[in-house]
Parts: sequence; C-alpha cells; structure tokens
Amino acid sequence: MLNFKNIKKSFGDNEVLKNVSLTVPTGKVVVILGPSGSGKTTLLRCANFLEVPNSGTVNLDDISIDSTNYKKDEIYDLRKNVTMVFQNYNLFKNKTALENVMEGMITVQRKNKAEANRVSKNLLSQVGLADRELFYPSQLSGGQQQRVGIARALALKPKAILFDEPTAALDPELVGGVLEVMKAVAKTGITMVVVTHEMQFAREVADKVVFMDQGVVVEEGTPEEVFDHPQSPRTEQFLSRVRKSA
Amino acid sequence: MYAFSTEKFYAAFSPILTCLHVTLFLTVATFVIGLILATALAFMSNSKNPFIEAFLKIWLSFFRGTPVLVQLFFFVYGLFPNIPVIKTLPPLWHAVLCLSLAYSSYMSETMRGAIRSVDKGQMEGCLSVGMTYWQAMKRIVLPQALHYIIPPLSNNFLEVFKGTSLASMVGITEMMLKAKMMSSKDLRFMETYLAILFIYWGLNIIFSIIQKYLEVRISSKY
Repeated sequence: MLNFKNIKKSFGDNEVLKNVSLTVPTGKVVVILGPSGSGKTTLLRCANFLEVPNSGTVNLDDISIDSTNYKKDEIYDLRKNVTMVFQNYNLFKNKTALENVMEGMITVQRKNKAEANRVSKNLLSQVGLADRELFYPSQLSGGQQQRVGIARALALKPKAILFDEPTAALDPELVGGVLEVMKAVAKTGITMVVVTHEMQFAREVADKVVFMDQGVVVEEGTPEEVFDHPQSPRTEQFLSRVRKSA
Repeated sequence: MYAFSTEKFYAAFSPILTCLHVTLFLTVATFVIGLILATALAFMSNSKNPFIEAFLKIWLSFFRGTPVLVQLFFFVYGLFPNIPVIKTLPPLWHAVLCLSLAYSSYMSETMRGAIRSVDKGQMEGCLSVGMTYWQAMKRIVLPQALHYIIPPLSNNFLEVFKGTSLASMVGITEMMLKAKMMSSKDLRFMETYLAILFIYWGLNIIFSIIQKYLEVRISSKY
C-alpha cells in the first residue's frame, strides 16, 4: 500500500499541496485528474521524494518517511521500490535503450551484467522494442522513448510505478502504443499512480479516480462514480470542459 | 625607416624554441591543476551552505577582479616564500600554482555551465531508479557535460597558454623571457618579438585544430 498522509508543499508563497492525504491500495491503479496547477504532478513527485514535502508522511508498506525528519538512506530505499515514468521520458541520453533499462539494476541493485542484460532484453521485448536495443534515445520516436522509460521503471521490480503525464508530450498517433503498454503493466498487478488527461484510459483501467484542484483532493471514487455521478460541481465543470475539447 | 632584418627574424626562432618546453610545461601543469580546482569550485557552487556560498563568492571575485600579473608578484614574491612546504618548491612550481589559482576561477565557470547545460531531467531520471547523486554525476551527467565542455574549455586552455608569458615577469625563463633577453642583447626588438608572436600564433592554430578534432570525435557518439 502506498499512502500519503497530510502532505503539504509550497514553492515560495505558492501553496501547491494543502494537506493532501491519499491511499493507493496494493496492486491497484489510481488515476489522478485535475487542471494544470492543481498539484497533481507535485503530489506524484512527493511519492519518491524528487520533491520533498514541507510536512507530511509517505508510506510504502513497511517504509515510512516523515518529510520533516528523514535519512537519505530511507529515500534511496523508497526509490528502489517506487520508480517513475516522466512526461519528457528523461532517458539517459548517453546510454542505449538496453543500457537505460540495465542502469538501475547494475548501479543500484548491483546485479551482474549478464543477468541485467537478460532481464532488460526481456523487458524491451515486452514493450515491443526488441529491435531497438542498441539505439540511443535521440534515435527513437517519442513513443518508443516512453516505452523504454516504462521498461526502465519496471526493471527494478518496484512495488509501485508513478506515471507523470506519460503521454502528454507525444504526437497523438503515438499515444495509443504507450497506453497499450501501460494497460499490460496494470494487468501484471503492480501498483500504479497515473497523472493523465486520458479519460478513456482512466475509465478502462483505473480502480480509483482522484480529482484534484488547487492543492486539495476534491473527490475520489471508482471511475463510474467520478465520471458519471460527480459529487462536486468543480469536478463536473472540469469533466464537461474536458469532454467538450475531446 | 627601420631596416627589418629577415635574417635576424629567422634566426630568432630557434633560440626562443629552446624554451618551448618550459612554456608547454607551464601550460599543461596550470591547465591540469586549474581544472581540478575548477571542478571543486564548480561542485561547491551547487552547495546551499551559506558559508561555502560566501567563501566562493569572495574567492571568485578576488581572482577574477585582480590582474593575474599582480597576483603573480604577490604570490611568487610575497606569499609563497612564507608558507612552509610551498617555499621549498622550485620557482617554476610557484608560477604554476599561482596561475592555476588564477585561471581556475575562470575555468570553474566553464565546468559549472557544462554541468548545468545537461537537462535537469537526466539527474531526476537517475534518482528515480534509486541512484545516488554521485552515481548520477559520474555515470550520466558528467559524461554528457563532456559534450558541452570541449569548446569553452579549449578557450580556457588557449588563455592559459598565452597567460604563461606572464611568468616571464617573475623570472621563469620560458619563451617570453628568452625573447626579452635576446632582444636586449642585440636590440632587435622588432624581429625577436615578431618571431615569438608567430610562435604563439602558430601553436595556437595547432591547438585549435586539435580542439576541432576532439569536438567531432566526442559529439559523434550520440
């Protein structure tokens, strides 16, 4: 179980997260929706301490990190178990696709090269890139890069994966391929927290949908509850705007 | 009208070049030590410790804000002879140390710029799979910074190369002091100094060609 408790985060005077608590049950897919500036990406980045909350606690099973009193080792421990897929992929530009997937296994998990190589090749073929192993990120399309990103996140066998708008930077025709891979990952039973604007994906795959606005969780529930019977007028307003533009 | 002697001009090259090794030694030693200092300064500039920040600010401001020539006089004649271990070093090393301090303050900016020009997302990608800051630096960020660093760093190298001529003022017999001594003997200032200018210029062009070659080799990989 991944759990956020009373997370607060400000950038200067700008209070981005106002006491957010959220629970992501093990093996479930939680999709976080919300307008830009609602704090959803910041919340996600607090889950692996890329952003350190001003106060609050992040729990992952038996790991519990209090943002006002933590040790560096605790954060490394957390990050081995909660990996991330970024909007801009953030693949290592000086490494091939295969090396990107292998990197964490070698430097963090200290696996031997042959083992890391075997697992990585396997993962790349799972995301449909068996023939791109030796390509550098600059030689891959956005969709391919993002699929390498997902393979890299899977490589450490984490308990949870965070997806930060994984399709937002992609050409529309490449979105489908990435979402397919994400659906396949969801079926493996790994815990996923996904920030996205892909409503169809949320409806099909999410076990829980969370709507955030102005630094608070406005509403959460099953996709049916949130999409078909939103309780808050703010949620309704957001959804109707998104539907119009879709 | 001054009677320019092409004979004297040609004849000036070989005695000046007998001191080429001193100039090259000064250049390479200053560059290497300066680079190590500059790297330390660049990493310090990432620190959020207020004492380190203040120290760095004063340090850089001092070395950039005063003439290298004056620094040489102060360090080589004033300070170094009064510091225990350093005073036992040969004078050539005194010049190297001072020039390293002086030029590292410029080179640190090059290092800092190169590290900063690597997209922030590269570090985040590393951290997101559990790598430490230093693992990320060593394996991902610094190798990429190498791309951006060759052109500005070669400029630093050329600055150091030219700057070594200042060491002539504190009694290091490199090419410039040699030329000075030669011309004060036969008073052929025009020929001698033109010859040494050509030597500096020629070497500079050779270094620039090497730079181009390195640039192409390093950037062709990815």
